[in-house]
Amino acid sequence: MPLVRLELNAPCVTITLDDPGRRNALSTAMFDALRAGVAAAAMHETSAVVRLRGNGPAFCAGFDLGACVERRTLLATFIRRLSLLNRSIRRLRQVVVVEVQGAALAGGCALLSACDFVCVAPDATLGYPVHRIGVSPAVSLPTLTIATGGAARPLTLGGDLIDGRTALRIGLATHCAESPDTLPTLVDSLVARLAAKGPVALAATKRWLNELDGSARNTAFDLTAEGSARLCDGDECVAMLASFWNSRKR
Amino acid sequence: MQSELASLSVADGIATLSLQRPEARNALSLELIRAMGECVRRVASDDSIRVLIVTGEGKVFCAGMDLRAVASDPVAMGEMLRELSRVTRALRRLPIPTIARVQGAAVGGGCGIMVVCDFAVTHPEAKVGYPEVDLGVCPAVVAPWLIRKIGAGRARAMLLAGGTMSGTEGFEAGLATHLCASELLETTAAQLAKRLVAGGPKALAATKEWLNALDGSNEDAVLDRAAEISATIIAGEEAQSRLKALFAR
Repeated sequence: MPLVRLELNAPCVTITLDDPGRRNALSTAMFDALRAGVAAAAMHETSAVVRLRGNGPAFCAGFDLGACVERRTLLATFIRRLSLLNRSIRRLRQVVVVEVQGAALAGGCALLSACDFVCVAPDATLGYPVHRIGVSPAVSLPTLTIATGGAARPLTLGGDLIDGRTALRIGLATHCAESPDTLPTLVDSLVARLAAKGPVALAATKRWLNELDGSARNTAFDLTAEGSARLCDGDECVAMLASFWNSRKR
Repeated sequence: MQSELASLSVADGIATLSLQRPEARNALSLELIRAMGECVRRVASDDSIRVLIVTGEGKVFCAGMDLRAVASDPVAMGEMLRELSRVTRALRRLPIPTIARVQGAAVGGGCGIMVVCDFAVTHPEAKVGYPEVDLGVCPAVVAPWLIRKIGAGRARAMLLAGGTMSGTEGFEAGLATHLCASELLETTAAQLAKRLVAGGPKALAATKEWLNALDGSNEDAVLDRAAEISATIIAGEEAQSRLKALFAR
């Protein structure tokens, strides 16, 4: 079963993370599938909008930590892959709308700020609870600070989880549905509105926004990815991740 | 100084620059943008002026670029965008505080003028925003000012979504700094101007210069490229066919 479902229809390409049993966790196979999905979307010339969503009760619960505990080098690899994935989403010609129900945690939350529109359910659970495993969420910062400005500081340093309404207030989300049930309709209507616009002007506007806010350049992405990845070899991360995983298993 | 299309009056250190095309809802023709630029130059060279209020005659502050006037002439459209780019940066770089007094509507390029000012006063029923992408037009000329005003994240959603919003929503999004009832618009802007005139002019000029330096407002290369991007997109098939359909209505 493919972990990512792709619907290549004009004017909207839909990319669905489809591993609901594992809350769409970012594993090696999921990163491979997402990379292929985003690349296919980039090649799809007749679409103006990309819709990113997750199947099941959670959008994405973050990295597959079990695999990271088993293979110590994997965590750094995941961080670098997340950074590359975020850049490729950010630099898609199409406008990207993400639909977030349930949890979007750590790496799952990092995907949000790379998107142009973030639509959340009011009861969604978002945030970066990663310091407890000795990981820095720095890899999210290039796009998160653009989306939220100063609010990125307490969000990434505090590690507290926030709901959809708070995400809207601080700028992490651009739209919050009235209720969890109305989220798909909200996204449908936003996608329809965006698809009606001039695709050339939209793409030029997006390219220009990326250039102005620095997300067209690799420097910040590279620095933060390497900064986060380097910590993964440290004693703190190794010990905290193992301890967290063992406590979860108990 | 009076021109047919833009006027400038000065009283007690407060200059008022008024767009004078009420019959066209102060839509920005090339001539109007140039007349506005002439007024801004005059303000820049008059040391007695301590605050500038920018407004529009009639019911509407500014309905945006007057593209209909140059329909089927993409070269003229590009030149209008370049001229708007020049005038907005001249406005931004004035050494005095600027206030946009926005009644009725500030749309597209009109919203760009509102946002480039240091302060903007509007009312709840006003219509503001950037519907450029709806017309196949790229709002690159106004994007840098919006990003500086409300932050890159919110600007992204606003410029890509197109459309317009109410004055209240514009205020909440940070496009306007002051919101008041429409009948209090002049008083509110006048009170704000009066308060600003009381500030030390050297301190205000230095603060403004520093704010402009910090947020990139003095960087011509970016603004020049923005004008070229907008001019290129507006000359393309997508924009031209959408505009043609709009003008045919």
